[in-house]
Amino acid sequence: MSGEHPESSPGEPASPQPMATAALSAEAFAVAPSADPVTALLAREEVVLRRVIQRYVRDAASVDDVFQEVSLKVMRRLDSVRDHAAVRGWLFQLARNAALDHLRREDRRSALSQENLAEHRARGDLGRNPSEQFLSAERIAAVRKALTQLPESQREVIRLRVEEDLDHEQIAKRLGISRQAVEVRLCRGRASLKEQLDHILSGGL
Amino acid sequence: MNDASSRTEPTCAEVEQLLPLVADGALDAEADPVLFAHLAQCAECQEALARHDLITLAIGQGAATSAAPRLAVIHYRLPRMVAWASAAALMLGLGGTAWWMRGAPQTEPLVADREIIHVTVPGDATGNGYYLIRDGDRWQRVDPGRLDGDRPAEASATRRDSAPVGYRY
Repeated sequence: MSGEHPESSPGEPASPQPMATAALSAEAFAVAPSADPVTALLAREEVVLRRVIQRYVRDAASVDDVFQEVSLKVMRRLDSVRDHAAVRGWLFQLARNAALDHLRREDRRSALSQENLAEHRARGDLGRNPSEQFLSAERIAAVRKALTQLPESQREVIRLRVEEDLDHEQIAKRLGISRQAVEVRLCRGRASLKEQLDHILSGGL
Repeated sequence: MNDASSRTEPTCAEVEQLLPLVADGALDAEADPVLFAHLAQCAECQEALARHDLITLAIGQGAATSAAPRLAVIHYRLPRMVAWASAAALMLGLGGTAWWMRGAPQTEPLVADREIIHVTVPGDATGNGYYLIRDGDRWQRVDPGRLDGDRPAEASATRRDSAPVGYRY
């Protein structure tokens, strides 16, 4: 077994990989034995993590900020990951959650309204044009449209989950249905929304 | 050596089924490390998950009501004298509230940032009338031939002879 860990980057199509070869050892990372494993891990995974963040966050300065947050979390919490094979999945989760938190904070700070467009442009949030933003006005409108086409039973559970941040148990109590029913409606509703959103955004109406 | 090697790797189709749960926060890397191991190295599944996340964020943002400008379209059929008088008043820049609307029956109080009023004048050869557009406090008269895109004229064509009707878009 070689010390090199075979990998494919997120930019390529998924290929079958041998599982469980990411050992948290300096040799596996091909760095000097004295290197701190956390630093080595971050150095090795930085490109991959930044790509994950960039799916959500478009301007370079914010990507840097979010990556810094992720790095801090890795340093603090890497010990909690017991299964070496789970490290990459764990890192992916960290990066995604940090990116989403960033977007939610940005959202609270300023809604994407006309008055704020100038501000966003100055900060470089908009890239070359507003529709490059992950959460653009066009996409929000598309989601709202897809939402109106859901059956009411699915729409109401999604609203309670997202807008009121209720957990599945609380939604079940509120609506007088079982938790399983809540989960089925959430799953079906979200799947329908995605299907419709894909259709709307690819030019269909 | 460890548990993961004994589990089958999920296919993208299987992962896709579970993404709504991931987006909902019901499934995390601790609960399903195999799923997340796949996500970590699959661009298509990451993209699909990002779209689920877009939905969540967009709905969350939609909860905060934004002040979209509201449009009221009112269709009136005016006696010829009144139509001319009001048009003249406007052209003289006398702007402000449309005085001829006072006392006119309304189906509901109009609260709009913009109004488009379609005025048809009996005896007008074309029968199209004209539009008075209020944007805040500013009034503007527009003749149908100069309107682009969606025209209120389409909506109003069948209502010209009915009583004044107010409705919101």
